[in-house]
Amino acid sequence: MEIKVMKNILNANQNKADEIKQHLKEKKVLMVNIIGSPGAGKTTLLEKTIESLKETYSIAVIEGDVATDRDARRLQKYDIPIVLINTDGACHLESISIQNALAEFDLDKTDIVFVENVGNLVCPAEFDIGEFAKIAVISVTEGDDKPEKYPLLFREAKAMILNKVDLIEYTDFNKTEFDESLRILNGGLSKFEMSCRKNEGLEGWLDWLKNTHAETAK
Amino acid sequence: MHEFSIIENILTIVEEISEKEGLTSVSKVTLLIGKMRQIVPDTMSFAFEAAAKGTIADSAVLEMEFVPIKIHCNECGNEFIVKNHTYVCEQCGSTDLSVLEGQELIIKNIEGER
Ligand SMILES: Nc1nc2c(ncn2[C@@H]2O[C@H](COP(=O)(O)OP(=O)(O)O)[C@@H](O)[C@H]2O)c(=O)[nH]1
Ligand SMILES: [Mg+2]
Ligand SMILES: [Zn+2]
Repeated sequence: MEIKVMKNILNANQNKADEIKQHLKEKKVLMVNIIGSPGAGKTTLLEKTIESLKETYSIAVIEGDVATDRDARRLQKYDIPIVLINTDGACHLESISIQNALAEFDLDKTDIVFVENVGNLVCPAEFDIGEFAKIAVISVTEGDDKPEKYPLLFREAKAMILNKVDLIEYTDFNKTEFDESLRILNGGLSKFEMSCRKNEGLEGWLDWLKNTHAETAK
Repeated sequence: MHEFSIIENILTIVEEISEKEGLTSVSKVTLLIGKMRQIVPDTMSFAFEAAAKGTIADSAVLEMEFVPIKIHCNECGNEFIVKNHTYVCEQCGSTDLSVLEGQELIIKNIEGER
């Protein structure tokens, strides 16, 4: 016999994500989900962003890491709340572990939560963790064809950071083709180019965060 | 890789439904997968075979039906199917679009014996 089901497979994850979204909205907290390949510069971006914003905003970080605590340790110097989630080999974070991590923070005293997802351009894009925005981080050394090869992330992201522009002259990265592939994938995407290593070009991104936080805090 | 996580969710739902419907075995599970999803069919089949061992769906076949990406243009009202991941209105060139279909990840039906 055939049984008609029509049930959403990721229902359990989605329901939790929706709960998180609602909860963060009530608490007026902005949560962003930072997604990119290993080595794209996600942790460096967090370091520079925290250095620029920590006087003005209360920041907390959730570090998703397959097995180590290296990135979480890199951020300890800022004396902000950090929760490490070891995914034990899994390629992405899911909303249940984010909900548990958020319970460790005093959300009444938090403005922005950064989540560094597991280094991967595919899987994290598939799972809503209750974030307000997915942020795609890609570096010029990865090549300009990444949006075409990983369309879902660049389609779902609200903002995209092109990092390591200090190295662009040593690569064959074609900015015109890159921009065009982003335009046809996601015309509404906010785009920022920077060198996190040199701490250059972060202003647009920082403004975006400030404005987006002001929107959520309304 | 996330295919494994998806398969786990599928098996949980299949077991729930089998229990509710009083099935003793499941022979086929049919999925609806939107083309926006980055699902590799071979990885899905492999993950399903591995994870279904010893469950009610042990010898079940996994069938996948893919759903095209259907778009509504918020500018001119045109509706069209996305080709080559080009999210630009074919009629007016706008990128202000809503996705109507193509994001599905659904269990459509299951077949089994009581
Ligand atoms: N040249 C250059 N190197 C960078 C830049 N941003 C990060 N890196 C380096 O890239 C490597 C990986 O950075 P990390 O932040 O750990 O990447 P993650 O794996 O995405 O968290 C480190 O050696 C960083 O110093 C940049 O803008 N330019
Ligand atoms: Mg890192
Ligand atoms: Zn149009």
